[in-house]
Formats: sequence, structure tokens, C-alpha cells
Amino acid sequence: MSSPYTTLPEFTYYKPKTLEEALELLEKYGEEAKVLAGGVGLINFMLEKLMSPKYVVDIKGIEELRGIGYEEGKGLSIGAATRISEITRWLDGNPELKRKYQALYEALSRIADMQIRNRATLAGNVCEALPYMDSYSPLAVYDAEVVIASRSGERRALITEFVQGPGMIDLQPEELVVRIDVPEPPRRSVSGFSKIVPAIEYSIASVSMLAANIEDPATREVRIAVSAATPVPVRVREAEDVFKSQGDIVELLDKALDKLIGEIEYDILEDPYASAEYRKEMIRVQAYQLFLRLLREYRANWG
Amino acid sequence: MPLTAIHYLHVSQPRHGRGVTLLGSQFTVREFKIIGKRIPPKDAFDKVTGTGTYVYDMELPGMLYAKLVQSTKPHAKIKGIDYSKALQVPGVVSVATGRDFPFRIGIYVGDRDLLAIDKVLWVGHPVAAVIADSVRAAEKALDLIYIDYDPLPAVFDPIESMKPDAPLLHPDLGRYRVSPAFKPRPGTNIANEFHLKRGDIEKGFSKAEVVVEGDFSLPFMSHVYMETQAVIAHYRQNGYIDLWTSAQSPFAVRYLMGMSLGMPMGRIRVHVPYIGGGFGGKAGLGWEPLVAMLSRKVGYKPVKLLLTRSEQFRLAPVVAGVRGWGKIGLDRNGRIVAYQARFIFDSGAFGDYTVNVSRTAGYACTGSYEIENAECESYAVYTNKIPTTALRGFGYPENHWVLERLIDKAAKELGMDPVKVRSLNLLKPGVSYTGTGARLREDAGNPQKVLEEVAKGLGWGEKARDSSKPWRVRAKGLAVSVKGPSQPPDASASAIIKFNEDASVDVLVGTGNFGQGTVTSLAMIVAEEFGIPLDKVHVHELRSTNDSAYTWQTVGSRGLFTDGSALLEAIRDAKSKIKRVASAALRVSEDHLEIADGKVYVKGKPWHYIPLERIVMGYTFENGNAIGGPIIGSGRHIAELNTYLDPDTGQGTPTIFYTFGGTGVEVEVDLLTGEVKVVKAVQAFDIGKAINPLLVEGQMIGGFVMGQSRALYEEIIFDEMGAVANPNLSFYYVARAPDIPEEWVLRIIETPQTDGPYGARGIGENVMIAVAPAIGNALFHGLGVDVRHLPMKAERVWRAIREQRPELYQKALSALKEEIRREYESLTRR
Amino acid sequence: MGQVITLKVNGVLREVEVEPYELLADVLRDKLGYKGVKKGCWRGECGLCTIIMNGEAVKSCIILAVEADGAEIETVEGLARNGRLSPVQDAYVKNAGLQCGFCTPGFIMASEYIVRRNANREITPGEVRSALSGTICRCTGYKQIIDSVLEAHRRIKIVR
Repeated sequence: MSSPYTTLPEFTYYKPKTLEEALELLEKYGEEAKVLAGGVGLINFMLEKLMSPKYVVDIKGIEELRGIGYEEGKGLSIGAATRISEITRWLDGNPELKRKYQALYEALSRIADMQIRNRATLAGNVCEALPYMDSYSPLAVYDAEVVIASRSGERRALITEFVQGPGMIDLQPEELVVRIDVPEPPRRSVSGFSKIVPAIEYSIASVSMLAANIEDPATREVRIAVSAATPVPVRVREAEDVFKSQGDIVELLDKALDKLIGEIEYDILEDPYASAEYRKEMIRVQAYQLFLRLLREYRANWG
Repeated sequence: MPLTAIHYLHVSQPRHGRGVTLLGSQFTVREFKIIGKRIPPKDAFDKVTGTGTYVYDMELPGMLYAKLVQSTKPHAKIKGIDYSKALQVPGVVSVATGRDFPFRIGIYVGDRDLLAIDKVLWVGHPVAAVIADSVRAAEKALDLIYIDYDPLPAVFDPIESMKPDAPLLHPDLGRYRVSPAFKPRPGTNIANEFHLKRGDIEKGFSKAEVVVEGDFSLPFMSHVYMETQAVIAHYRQNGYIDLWTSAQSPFAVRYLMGMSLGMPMGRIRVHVPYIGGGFGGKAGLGWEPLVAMLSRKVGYKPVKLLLTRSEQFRLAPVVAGVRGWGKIGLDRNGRIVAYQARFIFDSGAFGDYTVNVSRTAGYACTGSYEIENAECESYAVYTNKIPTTALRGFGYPENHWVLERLIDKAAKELGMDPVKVRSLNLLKPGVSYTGTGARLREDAGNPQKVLEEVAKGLGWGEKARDSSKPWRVRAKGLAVSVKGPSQPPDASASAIIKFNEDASVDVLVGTGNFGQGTVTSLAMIVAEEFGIPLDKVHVHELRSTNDSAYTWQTVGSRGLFTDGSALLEAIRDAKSKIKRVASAALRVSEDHLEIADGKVYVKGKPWHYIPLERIVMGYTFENGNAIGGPIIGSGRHIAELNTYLDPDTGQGTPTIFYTFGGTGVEVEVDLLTGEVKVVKAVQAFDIGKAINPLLVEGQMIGGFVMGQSRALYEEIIFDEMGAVANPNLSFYYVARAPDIPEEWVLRIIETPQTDGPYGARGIGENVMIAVAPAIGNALFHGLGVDVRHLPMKAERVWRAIREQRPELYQKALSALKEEIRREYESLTRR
Repeated sequence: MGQVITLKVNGVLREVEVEPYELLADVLRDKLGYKGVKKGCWRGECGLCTIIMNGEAVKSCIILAVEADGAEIETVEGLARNGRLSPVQDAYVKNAGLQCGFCTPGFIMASEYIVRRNANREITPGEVRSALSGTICRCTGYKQIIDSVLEAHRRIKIVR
């Protein structure tokens, strides 16, 4: 964050054409290799000399890592080399899916800026592992999974487990994130994303919410994911379970938020840009504002 | 569809009837062909095609590159520097340290070193310079320089630093070179102190019906001009130094270099091409002496120093943080009977330019008002943090943040409309005396009209529009401002115009060209006066001290006023030379000749003329006899009747003009998050004459947004070592396109000043001064929330609402919950 | 270990030897002479290095030159033809959408991209504002820039 350097350390650049090749390189070079997708994170880290990989593996030449797929009932599948703006444009072209994945769409549309979104990838955003990455709360709200490949096969990790702490992700040096799977949201659901960016470029508290069958306590489902205010994205199931009960909706919301915040209270970040107290309250306020918006959208779509 | 609703209004206020404009000291009735028109900047083509050259872009044959090693300690003795390994990096030519340059430089207080001399004063202080044949090699060497420090106690807080037992940053303060207007206190960390005393403060307060006081503050900020500092120096073997520098004031660079290095001024040639912004941060002297000395050290080769953004934040001068305090007394009628204020400028490790900023904050503390009893004091204090320098506004944004806020608070206490209180107390040109005890010239402008226009533009007195959401509220606020150049009493300027064969004109001026539009206005003046098309007037973008006309500096909104006045004299000079020749050619006396439309003609017989082309290189008669010769006109300007200020009372005449202005805002505040969005901006300024309203509006808009940015977002954050913790544009946020107001009201008022060009006064700085107070007053007036520390960022406003108006917060939260409940019910009712 | 890459810059094929560690902005500026590509932050924040690469506006200071091998690149130098400004450039001149000019190339390229991408649809001031959020100007206060983009967009729509 305070680098006087304008030049990068020396490294060897590889641009494999196949996944096989890429995984071979990663296995061979291990910790000395770094994966380059959009480069927004990696090149900055290298300029700061926070990372000095000897080998850089550019995955943008691998055809199978590019593009977006959707299968009814299974959900979205987004290749690791797919740029953020490709995803939002693709959703713009599929209004039905854009509505289903509204929280994701909103978050991705507001990542950094136009030029960065034209270069950065969703997988890169996920792997950067700084608390304020915008994709975290929407991915968490849909129970998205990171799909990881290595020469010994494929494995999957929930986003909330994949991100382990600032700068820490569940990824071995020989492994590569190949895609992000975003499951089908519940039927009759709406979702949305909210963040607060006070005089810095990054969010200090982000909230994503998803709500289904709101009017019927028996089948109602409300999910709340928080990021940026906490070191890692969080969902608190006991808090979400509150919405299964009967009762005044505002009281349920209050109770759910009390539970949510009670659970994460001691993890809430404090830094010169926002106090923990403010972050905590901004989770709450954004949750109310977002829930109101979702109610309106729900009524428009399903009411 | 236009972006925004804009209401333009030009309020012309000629003092001698319609259509009367002032030129020099003569009143002439004239219609303008070019002056007053909306004309795009002359250098726009270069800029939109990316072909304009900045120092950042320049490369010279055989050029080497310098990088600076930054101190990692806030205050420490340098025990040793080992750079032997650095010298082994291929491409590294040399390493310099402070011991190579054992002298100090500066414009007002010569407290700056080129590289740390035996002692570092802040984290980031340049300790050594590496010179190499590539930036890459220099950067590699940075990591191979080992510095052995002996830590000293450090002080980061200016109040602590003023205490007698505080660690001293500059034990030799008493031996530094100091300009006459400044008073450092040797043996302390006080780089300058200033006192203003007028009337009897005790007596004044005794007459007050209400007295209001408060602490205020402004944080350190960065200019964030987009071109970071860049210097190329070539110390030549023949003893000349050529410098290419991104600096506002080439002549000040030359003068201060000559003074500091003990060199003949004429041997220093300072060249300034396009400049990527300045805002005061590139005034005075920068890195030029260091890079020149490095050039000599490496065997007289050109050396370039270009700072990165992060270096710009950590080792180049920024803008001082200020602790302010003020106390104001109003009598029962709303007259200000006494005002007292104190400003402590945290100038960081060097006080150089900030001593003058703090002095200005002190002498101009009474703002736009006539206050008979006033006492203000200001201090510039050293701390172990990044050094500071001038910024657009120069002490006025700081003193207005205190005074303009206190006026609203006092008005509320008294139960009076703050506009009314302002109106009652505004200076009256020709009648009132300013805070420095100088009688305000009668043609200084129309402060009442400014206030009226702001109030009208804002719809003051009408309720703010309702917001779409019950937890958001709209609020209005306003403030007025004044600004004059803070320059030595004898600051001067000059201009040269020379004709080319085709009767086009080259204009040689010294004023810097970093976007203000002065150069376009100067060209318009020449085109107007000779009646030639604007594209026949050429102002080269390059300023060179050896072939541009002298001007003291390009600062303080003075460029158009001072250099424009000099230019008008140069035009008169050229005209009289042209007439002398034409008089012989046309066989009429000079008095009977007129110059217009590119011709010299006989008054009353416009068909009897000579085109300028046939005269400006000399006139040739039919038989081949020739008279005259190439026409060159020259002109000068010097501040007249300005004085030094009395060292004890600060009384005197410090400035050549005051521009009066005002700002109004309508804001929308989210009561639950504290986010403040400016939805409407009103700007009104009495600039005497708008030479080019398009570019004046550019200043009014640009200045507003810079002011808004300072008011709401900008803050340099320091860590526990006093190091800048947010040296980048992600964590040091400046306003971006989505942040600006959607609705603009821009008012230009034209009350001409007799000695300004066409009556014009400066505008470049005042445009940002009242913005923060206007926003602060909007929160105060509309929400009853008093935020006294900048920036008014979301969390600070949120906290203020919760502490000062908890019921407002609760109400907003209940409204939100109620809406959720209603929405849910209408869903389930179906 | 240098590598020869091929770039088509403003319609002209250029071959240039680069090292993997070289950034695209530096290669465009220092090796190929496109000085209109500026840097104001060195880390992808200010947008002054914006170019259009394979049809997308991107920040060239955080792209490796080797990544651009084979790419089609447009810089500010390529917009004016024979001294005739593009509609975007022309609108910036008329509206005084510039002051010191240092950020102007970055803004012109971002604007050119916005205007082109929306050539067949209406565009709101709000959309222009958000699309410009990745490019920083300290002088103008953005209003005259936003006006310039809207005007250029109107003119392009009429021409089509």
C-alpha cells in the first residue's frame, strides 16, 4: 500500500492453452508460481513487492475456463477466466436469470469501476481474499461453491469456507480455481446487495439478502450474508431460522439481526476508515433497507 | 437532454451606466467582439489529442533517473548509511546523501534540506538518492541501502509540539534564513506566529447579546494534482543549469535556486511545459535544487526525478492539518461586536510555505465582515510528519471553516436568519475597514449582491424539497467567502507582445498554464485590442525564464489580474509604436489614429487605413523607403499601495484585490448511515468582469467539487509512527464523477475594479473556500447537527446525529421499520 | 528473457521486444511512443492509462505487455484523423471538458468507449457518471466532462 516501486520483479510468464498444462505448471512450481487471471490483484501485489513469484501462469488462454453456463435447477457456472463485465452483460441479456441472481448482479455491477470490470474476473475477486471483496456476500447468500482442480482431481468448497481470513484462502499451491458454481435460488425468491463506501473505494459493510415465500412463515426462507464488516463472509443459520416462526415481521427481523450480530460481534473489523460500532450498525441498517426493497420486489414479482 | 438544470445569470454592475467598461484608468464605451464570449481553452486541441507534453513525458538524450530512499523512522539521528551494495547494481551510477548538500532552502523560512542532513524528521524523509540509467535499476538499488538510525523522541501532535519540553525538530531555527514578514521562535517548534489586533476585544464582548465559541479542525490533505511532481535537471559543464519542471512559478524556482545555491540567476534556466495541475502544491521551490545537484554529481548528465503517487503522499509536501478555535459576539441587533480566533497549523517537518498560509489565515480571519474588535492568532508548528505547503485558498478555507460556521450558530442563538446576520455585517466597499485595518477600496465588488444571489439561487427561506424516503432529509446551507492574493507587497509581473510578419502576435508571459484558462483569457485580450482573430494570437505553452516575461509567481488567483494588467500595458505600448509609424505613413497625427479590426485607420474615416501586416515589420513607401521596424510591446505591473503588516497587530494593506463570493448547497442526508449527498450547488462570485464565462464556470464547478471533496471525503491518515497510512487513491478518496451535484446555479456578478483588466478580479481559489462551511451549515440549519471537524464523512455525521439528535435517528429507524411492516401487510392481505 | 509481441496500435501493426515484467502502459509510452497514455497512480485507480484493447476500455498500468500479445489497441493518439477531432474530442473542446489536460487522454478513451457501447441506445446522465467513476480529474469537477460525453453521444446517434 505504500510502494515506491513502479516496476515488477522478474518472473517467467506462461500462458497455457489447456487446463492440463496449467495444472502441470502449478504442480511443478508450487509456491513459486502464481495464477494470473485479470491481474488486478496480482499485479498490484507484485508492484508492492508483497508477492514475487518466479513463475506467472496466465489462465486466460484456456478455453474451458471461459464463459458462463446455466442449467435449470442446478444454477450458474462461471468459468475462472470470465471477466466481470462479461457476466453482467450476459445477465443483461437473460433478464430472467438476472432477476434470479439479482444480488450477484448488483454486486458485480458495482465492483471497482468500468475499466476494472472489463479486466477483472470473478474468480480473481474471490481469490484476492481481502475482506471487502464485493462478490463475497452475494456468493454466500446463494451458497455458491468454488470448484478447485488439481492433477489429482476436482474438489468443491463453499465460499464461506473457501475464504479463511484476510489474504488466506483454502487453496493449495498446486490447485487452481476453475469455476464458481452458483446454485439455483429457491423458487419465488428475490435477492439484493447493499454496501457502504464511505470516502474510500471499498465497502466497510456489505449485506446481501435473499428472500423466498415471504408471506408464508411455513415455507418462508430468508438468507442474510455479511461481508466487508468481518474478516470473512458470514452466514448465520440460527439467525435465518428465526424467519421460520410466526409473528410480526419487523420483530422477526430485529430478532434475526440480534442473533446475527450477536454471533459475529467480536469479529467485526475496526480500522481508521470505520469503527466496529459503525460497521455493526451499518449491517443492521442496510439489512432493514434491503429487506424493504426485497419486499417491494417480491410483491411486484410474486405478490 | 442536458445533464443538469443550470441557471446562468450574468449580473452586470457597471458603475457608470450601461455598456461602460473600464480599460486601464480610462472609461471607454465599447462593444466587445471577443471579451466576455464563451470560448474553449486555446490549448484544448493539444490536450484532447494527447499530444501536449508534460515534464512527466520528457526524455533527454543520455538522461539518468533518480529515486529517493525514504526514512523509516519519524525522528532519528543518522549514524551511518551503507550504500556499497547499491553501487554494485548494474546501471547504478551514484548514490547521494544529505552530507553532499549541507545547506537549507525555502521560500519563507529556509528550513528544508535536499536530503536529510544527519537527522531524519518524518517517516518518508528522503535520506539518499540513487541515480541510475533506468528506473528499474534505481528501484533495485533502493532495497540495498542500509541506514543505521539512533532514534530520537518524536512529536506528532501540534499542541504537544508547542509545549516547552517537546522534542525539537529544528534546533538551528534561529540560524535559518527568514523572509521579513515571518517570526519563527528559536528554541521551540514554532515556525511562525502571527497576531492580529484590532479595537478592544474585551469591550467588544461586553456589548454582546450572544457569545458562541467552538473548536474546529481540518485534517491533512493532499492536492492530488494528477501529474505527480516531475523534474529534469541538466547541470551543464559551462555553468548553466537547465531545468524542466512541473512547477507553477518558473521565476520563483529560478530566484530561490539562485539564492540557495549562490548561483547567478541568469545561469539558471527554468523551462515549464504543460503542467498536470498545481493547486498551490507546485508553487515556490520543489525538488529542482536536489535534482540539479544530482546532475552535477553524476558528471553533468541530465537527471529526471518523477514521484509515484505513493511517494507524492509520503515524501512531497501536502496540506497542513489545522486546529482552529473561534469565539464570536453578536449584539442584540445582530452586529458582530467581537471576534477572536486561533489557528494552529500542523506544518509537519518543514514550515517553509505553511508559515505564510498560517499568517494569511490570521490576517484574513475576519472574512467578509466588518468587525471592529478582533483578535486572531495563528501558528505554524513543526511535528514529525510529512511537510506541508500551499493549497488553493491559502488559509482562507481554514479561517472560513471557523468563522462561517460560528455565524450560523450565533444567528441561531439570537433567533435571527443567518443571511440577515451576514447582510448586516458584510464589508461595505469604500466605507468599511477590513480586519487588517485597511479601508476597502470603493470598487472592490458588491458583497451584498453576492449574498443575495446565493440566497436566491438556493431558494433560501423556501423549505427544502422532501426526500423520497422518510429516513433521508434534505437541508440547505450557505456561506460567503472572500479571497485576495497573499503575495509580498512588491510582487510584480510583466508581458511582452511581438508581431509576426502576418500581423499575428506572439504573447510572452510568465504566468503558469495548469488549466486555469488564464492563457486563453490573455490571448482574448490581445485579439480584442487589435481586432484580430483569436487564432492569430499565439501563447506558447512552454515557459522559459530566459525568454518569457517575468512574473513573480502563478498563485493566489493573481495571474489574470497582474499579468493581464501588464499585458494591457504592453498592448498600449505596441499600439503607440504602431501609431507612430502609421502617423508618418498616413500623414495624420497619432492622436487621430485608431487600431481595430487588424487595421490602423484615421478616426472618422475608417476607409483610410493601413492593414497591420504592412506596418508591424516596418512600413515601406512606394519608392522603397522604409520606416519603423518590427513591433514589440512591453508592459509591467506591480502591486501598488500594499504594505508589510505591523509585526504586533497585523495591521496594514496586504492585498491588491479581494474577490467576494458565496456558496449555497442543498444536501440529502441519510439519517441512518450518515451519508451526505450534495444535490444542488449554488456559486456566486463578483469577479468584476468575466473575460471568458465558459472558463469562469469551469473554475466555479471545479472549485466547488474540490471543496466538496475536502468537506466530505479527504483526509490523510497517520499511523502511530506519524507515517501516512493511506498513500493511494483507494484509501485517500477524492470526489469522482458520481459524487457531484446534479443541479447547478452559477452566478457571475460584474462590479468592475478600476485597476483590473477590463475590471476583472481573480477567481481561481475563492471557488472552493465556502463549500465546506456551506455544507456544515446545511447540516446545522436543516438537521440541527453541528459537525465541526472535517471531513464530514458518513460515520462522523452518523455519530453526530446519534449524539446530538438521537430522536431523529430513532424516528428514522421507526419510519423504516414501519414501512417494512406496511409493505409486508399489503403483501399478506392479498 | 525477452519476447517479441505483436500489437496493432491505432491500426498499425507494431512488433516490440518486451520482458514479462514490463507493463503495457510503459511499453506503449516508452517503447512505442504513445505518450498520451499517462500514469497518475501506478496501481489501477486513476484511469489515466485507459486504452481500448480488443474493444474493451481497460487500465493499461495493471496489464502485462505480454498479456496483450496479438491485441488490437486504441490510444488517444489514434482518434483524430488528419487533424479532424472525433466527436468525443470535439465535444470536450466545445464544453471545456478539460483544464490541466493531464487526465484528458484517459477520460477521452473512457468516454469514447461509453459512447460506442451505447451507440444504439439512450444513455442517462446517471449512467455516464457511474461509467466515469474509474477515472479521476482534479480540475474540472466533472460536470463539463459529463456534458461532453452526453453531447458526443447525441451527435453520434444523429449521425447513425
